[in-house]
Amino acid sequence: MFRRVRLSALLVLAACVSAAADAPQPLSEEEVRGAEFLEGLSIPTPGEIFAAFGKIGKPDWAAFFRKHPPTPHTSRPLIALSLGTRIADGFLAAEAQDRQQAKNVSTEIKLLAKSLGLEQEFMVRSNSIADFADSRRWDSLDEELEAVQAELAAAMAGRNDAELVTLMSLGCWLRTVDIAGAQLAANYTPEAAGILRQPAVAEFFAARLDALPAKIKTLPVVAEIQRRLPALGATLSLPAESPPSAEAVNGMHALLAGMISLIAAPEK
Amino acid sequence: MIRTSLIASLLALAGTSFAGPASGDAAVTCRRAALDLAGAWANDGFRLRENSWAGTLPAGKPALARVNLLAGNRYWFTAATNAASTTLAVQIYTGRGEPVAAGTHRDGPVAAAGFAPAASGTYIVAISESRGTPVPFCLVHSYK
Repeated sequence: MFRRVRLSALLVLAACVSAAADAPQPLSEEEVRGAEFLEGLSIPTPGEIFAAFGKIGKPDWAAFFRKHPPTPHTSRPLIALSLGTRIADGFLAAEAQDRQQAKNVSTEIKLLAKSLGLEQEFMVRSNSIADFADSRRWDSLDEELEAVQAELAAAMAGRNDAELVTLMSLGCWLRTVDIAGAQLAANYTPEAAGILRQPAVAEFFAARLDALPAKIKTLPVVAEIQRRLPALGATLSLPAESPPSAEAVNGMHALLAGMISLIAAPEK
Repeated sequence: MIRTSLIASLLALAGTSFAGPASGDAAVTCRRAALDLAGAWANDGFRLRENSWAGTLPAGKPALARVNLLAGNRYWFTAATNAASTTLAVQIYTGRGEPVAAGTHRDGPVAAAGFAPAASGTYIVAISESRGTPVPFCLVHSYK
């Protein structure tokens, strides 16, 4: 333990020294254009977004718990979207440090995973989530939820269900931005509005939805989300020096809440 | 427990990259080395993200990935290769390709860059190798 802490201190010192010595050249236009957008790396996690908001105040995260669990679906794409939103709810429970909420969300994730035939992939994780919640190891719970998402994504990809991976990831991102948007709408400051800036993420998901098979992207919920994504992307892509106004944040929050309601609503 | 899905996750992610894919064994070895160094940041309260980026560096070019970073958070990007005789470097740029003032760490086949963005937005992480040789790499990323 002591050895690791000492190593950590040495690395930080070395980092400071080398910061002064490095003088890298700017990237070429071609290199900038060629930089990859990777789903697993480029999109901030719920924990990352909530952590940033936690630095500028003390959000009452429990105020954003959902009052009712989402309606069960039979359509696999809708289940995947719903699963993503529940994973984000798990991060919310961890941020609110609410043991019972974490366990409730874990149960709902298990049911949704079961509906997709992925119950086995989640079984052990479910026990770990309960253990971390009971022992109040909230950072570990965050890591476990990320692992859940990665493992479910790997299992979906392994079963040639790549489109479900996109939908789960989209559901998780939408619900996370919905929660952050609610926090922002309730406690607006320009500084806080600037935190949510995420250029290109909505555009990335819009392109991924566009590439889905017609039978999925014509589902009313998916088509409606795709229709609304450009407006969301526009608010999240404003220049850093001019963050969204309080009015724009309220509009974005309404847009997001509408999308989450669509995902949670009974199938037509 | 948390990292048991290592191989499955790596294989799922490797296929999404324009940097060439690394073999499964190389990816695991590189990730392990990156995680060893990233453990130092964990001691400072940084949370390690589950997903990593594994691939093979293009010959004579850096591997470049876009990341969305949030103002208020601090980040470490840690990379490693299994080619022991190489010197790896990690650098962070703005979305327009201008280098940012990041703390960097280089120790042969492992390297890292740490950064606290003043503004949220898109940044570019570059991984390069001193000899321009295609070598497998893995990048992990931590935040607090």
